[in-house]
Amino acid sequence: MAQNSELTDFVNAALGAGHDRDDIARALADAGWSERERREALEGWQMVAGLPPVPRPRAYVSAREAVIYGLLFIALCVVAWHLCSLGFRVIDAVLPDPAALYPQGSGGMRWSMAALIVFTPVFALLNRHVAIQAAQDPGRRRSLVRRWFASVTLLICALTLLGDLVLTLYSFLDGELTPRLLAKSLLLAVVAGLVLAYYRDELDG
Amino acid sequence: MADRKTVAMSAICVLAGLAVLAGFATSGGPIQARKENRDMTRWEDLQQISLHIACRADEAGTLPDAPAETPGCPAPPRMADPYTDAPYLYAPTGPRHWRICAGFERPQALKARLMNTRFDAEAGCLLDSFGDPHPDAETDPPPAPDPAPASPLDAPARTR
Repeated sequence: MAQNSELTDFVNAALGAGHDRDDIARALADAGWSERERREALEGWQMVAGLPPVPRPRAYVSAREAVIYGLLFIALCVVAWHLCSLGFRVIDAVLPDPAALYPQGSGGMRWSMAALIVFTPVFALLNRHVAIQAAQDPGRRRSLVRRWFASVTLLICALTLLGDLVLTLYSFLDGELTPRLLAKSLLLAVVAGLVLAYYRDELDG
Repeated sequence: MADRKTVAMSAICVLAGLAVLAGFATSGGPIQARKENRDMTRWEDLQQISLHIACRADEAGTLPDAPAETPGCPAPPRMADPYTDAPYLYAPTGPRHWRICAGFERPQALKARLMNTRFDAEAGCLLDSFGDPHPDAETDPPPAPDPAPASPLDAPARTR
């Protein structure tokens, strides 16, 4: 979590002036800072004899990484969206609705195929690039941009899974839970689950 | 052992690959798509011809024997298939109804794309009419009053 710069500067100055950590924590509590904020501010500095307070690593923001992680995020979104879209159309073709007046068209299917052919390799290559960079420099796991994209993706996945569950239950209660709808719900759940698994570790880093 | 992220990424890529293969198997690939696009061009040609026939019919009060330009009704841009040079076939099917046919390559796919009841996919024809909001009124006589139920199973539905 990014820290308030005034709080950070104050703790740095207080530690540098030789004040005790408990005294600083009490002063911060009197000023209204929460227990979590006080702890994080104090843990952000390490005291070494003969040196001013040494800053510990913390989350950071990088414009360059925003481009990489943004592209990775968009590529994953496009792949997931068109994977579901194409999957739904294939399911419609394999399990056709007997009451449908017209057969399933294939125009939208080709658009999704084109999107997947382009964006799946982009997603895989960007993922590899990010993994190599993180292995070379573990500090990159502290990227705030990376965590924000992970947070947004997890939120979307959670909402998708909940919506999928609601739709499936509603269809069941409404007597419309056909094999076709069940297959689509299952596909959506699998894709959302995989995306969730992909980003889950980012929040822990 | 691969971590969770690598497994998820690999599974997403494999699923995407399988979906693309299934898409090819279902939609038929670029050669089939090209056929569908040619059929779409033929359908647009038939629509232009049908507009011309409707214009001539409005003008004369009766269907023309063949499409031909008049001062009030410009000729349709094409009267033959641009890919095979086979002529489009116009034929009146009643005093106010006509059909125009072409050699479609994937008529069922075109039907799915158009979702249009005027397209007869089996015959490969556009069906049209003029001056009658109910195109089936002349060719199909109004239904006779319901006879007795064909089977006992029909009876309860009629009494509801």
